[in-house]
Amino acid sequence: MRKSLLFYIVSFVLLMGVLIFFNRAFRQLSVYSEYTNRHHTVYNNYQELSDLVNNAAILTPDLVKKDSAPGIRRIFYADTESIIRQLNLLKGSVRDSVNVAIAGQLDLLVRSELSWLLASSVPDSIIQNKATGHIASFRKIDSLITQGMDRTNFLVQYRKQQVDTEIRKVRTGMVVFIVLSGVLLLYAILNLFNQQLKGRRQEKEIEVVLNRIHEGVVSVDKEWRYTFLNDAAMANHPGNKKEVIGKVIWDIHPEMKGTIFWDKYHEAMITRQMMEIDSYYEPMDIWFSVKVYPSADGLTIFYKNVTESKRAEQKLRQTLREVTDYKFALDESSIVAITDQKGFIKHANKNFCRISRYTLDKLVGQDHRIINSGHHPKEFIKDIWTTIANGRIWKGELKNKAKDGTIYWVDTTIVPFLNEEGKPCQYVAISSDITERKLAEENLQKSLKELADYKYALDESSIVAITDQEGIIRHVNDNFCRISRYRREELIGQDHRIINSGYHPGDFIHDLWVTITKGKIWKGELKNKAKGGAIYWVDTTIVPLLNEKGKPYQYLAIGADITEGKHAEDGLASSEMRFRALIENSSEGISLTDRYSNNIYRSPAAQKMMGELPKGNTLGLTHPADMEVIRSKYELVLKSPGMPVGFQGRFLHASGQYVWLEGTLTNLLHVKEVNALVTNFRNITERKEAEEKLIKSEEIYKTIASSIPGSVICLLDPNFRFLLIEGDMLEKIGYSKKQLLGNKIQDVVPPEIFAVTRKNFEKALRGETVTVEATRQGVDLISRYIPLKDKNGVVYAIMTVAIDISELKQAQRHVIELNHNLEEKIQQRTEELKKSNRELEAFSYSVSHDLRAPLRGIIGFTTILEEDYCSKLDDDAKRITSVIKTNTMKMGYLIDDLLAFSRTGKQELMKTTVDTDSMVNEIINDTNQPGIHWDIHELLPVNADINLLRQVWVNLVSNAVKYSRNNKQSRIEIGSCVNDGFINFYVRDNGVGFDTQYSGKLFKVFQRLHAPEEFEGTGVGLALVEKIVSRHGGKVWAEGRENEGACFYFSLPA
Amino acid sequence: MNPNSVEVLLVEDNLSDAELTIRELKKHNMTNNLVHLKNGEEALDFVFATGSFAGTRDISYPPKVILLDIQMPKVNGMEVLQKIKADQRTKMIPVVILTSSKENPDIQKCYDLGANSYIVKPVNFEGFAEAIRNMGFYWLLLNQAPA
Repeated sequence: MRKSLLFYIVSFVLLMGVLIFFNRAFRQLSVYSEYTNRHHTVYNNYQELSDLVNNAAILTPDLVKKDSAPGIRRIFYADTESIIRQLNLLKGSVRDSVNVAIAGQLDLLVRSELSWLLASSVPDSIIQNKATGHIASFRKIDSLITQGMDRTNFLVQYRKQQVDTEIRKVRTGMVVFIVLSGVLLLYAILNLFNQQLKGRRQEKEIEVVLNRIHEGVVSVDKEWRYTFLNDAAMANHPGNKKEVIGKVIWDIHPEMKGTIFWDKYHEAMITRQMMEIDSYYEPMDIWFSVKVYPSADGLTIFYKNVTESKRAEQKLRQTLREVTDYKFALDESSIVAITDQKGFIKHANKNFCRISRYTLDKLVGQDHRIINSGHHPKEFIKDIWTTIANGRIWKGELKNKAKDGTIYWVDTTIVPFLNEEGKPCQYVAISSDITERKLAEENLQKSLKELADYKYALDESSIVAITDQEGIIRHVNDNFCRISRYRREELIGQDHRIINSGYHPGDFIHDLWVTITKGKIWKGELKNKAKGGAIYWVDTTIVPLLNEKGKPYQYLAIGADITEGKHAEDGLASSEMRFRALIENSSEGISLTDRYSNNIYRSPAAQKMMGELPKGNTLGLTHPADMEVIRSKYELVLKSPGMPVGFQGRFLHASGQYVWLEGTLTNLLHVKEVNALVTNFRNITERKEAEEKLIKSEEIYKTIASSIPGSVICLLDPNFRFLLIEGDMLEKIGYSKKQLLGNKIQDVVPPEIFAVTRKNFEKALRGETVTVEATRQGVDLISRYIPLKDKNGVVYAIMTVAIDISELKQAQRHVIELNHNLEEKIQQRTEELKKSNRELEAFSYSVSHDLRAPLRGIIGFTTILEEDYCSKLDDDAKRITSVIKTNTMKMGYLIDDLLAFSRTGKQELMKTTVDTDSMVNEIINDTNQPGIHWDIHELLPVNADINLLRQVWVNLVSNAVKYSRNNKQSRIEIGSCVNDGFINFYVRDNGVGFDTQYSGKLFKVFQRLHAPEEFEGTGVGLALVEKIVSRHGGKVWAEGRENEGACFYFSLPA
Repeated sequence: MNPNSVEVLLVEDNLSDAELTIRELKKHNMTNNLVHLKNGEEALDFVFATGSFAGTRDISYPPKVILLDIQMPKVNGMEVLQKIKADQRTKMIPVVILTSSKENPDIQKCYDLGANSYIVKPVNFEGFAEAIRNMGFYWLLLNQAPA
């Protein structure tokens, strides 16, 4: 640049020289020309003079002649006057000394020779004399004229030569001028061209750099025509660069119209402000992060495809939402509590609070034993702790105590959560309320026990046998064995007729069978035959046990030994007295009535049973509900004399209560000695009530068993025959009551399932209680096999209780799966994040290193230039070197600030309690600015990253110093206060302040409200402050007015 | 120059930085026995008297100080530092790390490897000159090398 300037100066000087030279030459030329002209005039004058003198000389001889006419003289005179006039003319025109001398001489000569002629009075004679003498004088004049003409001629020639020289000089000057200006023009053109070339090369270099970066870079001019695209940008543009450049962006991307990108680009174009867009671009299905910078005549757009990171973020967010949903579902459906590794409750959900009746704040921090019911033995509790402390999951049922002492049962799964060392750090207990089920189970156990007690009582007091519907003996009790003298094995499986004595007539036996096969109870006295032929009498009640169709499938015979009484009866048969005594002493009531049922006689036993009744109609004592049956029996009796008719029913006792009576009514009207209807009966109230109670309690148990939701409860005999099945789960797992009841399990259940369950049944048969979990038809069941034992410990039936735990299982599986997936996802995300952090670190490293080195070079070498070539640089050059240095330094600061800015985003926060007071004082000391009035209030300590917080303070304090330095007296106030859980800090100065309408821009990167000439800076400082504070969960804001100072605030969580 | 009487070994691939460094040292007459090498490989050859320096150098005449740039092609400064500090014969040679990088992990890593000083070359020339000058004064004039 300087070289060309030098060249221009030299060229200019030369040109000026040439022009001066020209000027002088021209002036010279004109002078010389004038001289030449003048000499010409002189020459002409000489010539004229010479002609006139010659004329005079020619005339002279004529004049001398005597007869010269006065005309000639006149001519001569005129001539002479012309000569004198001419001479005067000549004298006036000559300048040079020679000619002046010649002219003088001429004048002298002419005047002396010719003046006399002019005198008019001169006589002709004189003239003749003189004229003759002066012809010589004329010659002399002529020679003088010739001399003068020669001289003048010479002068003319000389000047002509000089003019020629000047003309040559001008011509040479002209050539030099043309050549010089030609060269200058050429150089200027070349220089211009060179500069353009250089500019283009720089553009090329920038283009190479831009092509290397991964961001897309696009430039457009004012008319939205592409002026530049880098390689990365071509991924989003069709064709090659040459085709795209020059086209209008909206023609290439018409679908962009109406998107936020279109709006923002236009806004940037109009406002000439940098814009940032971070948005989804639907036409390409891509997320773009775009920065738009206004450039000289349009916009430069940097953009990046951030779809992957955006998608990942969205996915993560969704996963988190799912997890939250799962947690919500779990919280809603289950009882959840979290304890730390020592068993202190950290969290309990709503359900937990509800069931335990504690409020959440009463639970948190408490030992979990707060809900311990004390029910479980120590070993059980110890087992739970060893399981979960080893990191395994524990499942089981727990009995807990609520705040008000209520006991509740929960089916609980405790999942230990492990820390990195594999040690449990907390336990999560998920439970479901099974209190009802547990209570039902307990009740069931109790009723089964009661049933067993009844059975025991019955077995002890009576002779009991059970036959199936074919009459085959299935069960006999010890009393039966004793009286029949058979061993049990000899009886079981035999026909009941083994003890038939053959005493009873066929009708009697038939009647018995008809009664019981109809499902009715038969009562009567049976004469049986024991082993060895001994006869015994049994007062027997046969109860048919009905299946669900109401058909008997088994018969239960309960009897009492009445052999002795029968023997006595036989002995006394002959005597009425004996009969009477018999009747009077019989425990059975006997009464006689007439055909109209009016009472005739009541035995004492009958009176005891019925109370002291007035004589009268006995039929009227019948309970209204039984009346119809009894009446029909009565009519039957009247119709069929001699045939005993059995009855059973409720009759009014004298006390006003009804008693159950059972007996036979016989029409003996035709027997003269009797002539009455004979009734013998027993009070069976107690038995009836017991029966009813039994039926009722059985009903209760059935109801309980069938109403436990999600369960199946079965009772099987030792041959695995289903005796009882209840519960709503049966059909769900693929069976029906009808299919199973009364059948053996191996006949109705698929063999593969029986193969699995068989060992459980066998274990139960051996007296063990077995609990297993299994899946049937997709239903998860927990099944318990409970042996029912008689007093000797012999198992007589097996009860199985199966409960549907599908929902629980599914929830468990879900939780496990969820945890597994979550961990995997978190790990994956962590890896991705780590990788991108590493890349960013590498990038900032190379930025800090590689961008700095050339800057250092520029400054270093500029400094060398200043130091070593000081003498050769003029003031402007020195100024320029300092400008270069200032700008390079500025770029250095910019790099530092940008690095600090980008680093803030990814650094991990290392929070400690920071002594703000001493930190700020230290920073103020470091500013080292005299003449500032500091007003420092109490600064509260705060929990923050010490290095980042220092950066915040340094930036705010140095800003306050910088923007108030033009004041006569700078005044800076710093303070803090607590406000709503935050600590607010502020830095107030009385500096230049700012226009409130731009306060939104204060904290944006690269946004400045002052020109760099006014206040230096990079526009990163406050952006950095904002970033650091917001990373701490705080806020920044500012107040201020132009020329009235500013106040910057920031808040950090207390 | 006798390769055994070298006082300053400057290892720097950036020729501009090297020139500035040498110039500043020269200003204060500290370049009498200075050798400038342009990469880590040469530096290791020089220090351990191997490769192109085999035969001409004796390992028992160490330089007074090594000025080492971190970011270099082939063998970088970190590796050179590690090898020098790992060898009993050379580990007492003072090594001053000169780098553009202010990044924390680098500083930590260099000190871990046994660097004696770590100087960040500032962008501004006065700072740079001062750093080089002070470093030269300290290691060449003040510091007492082990006998």
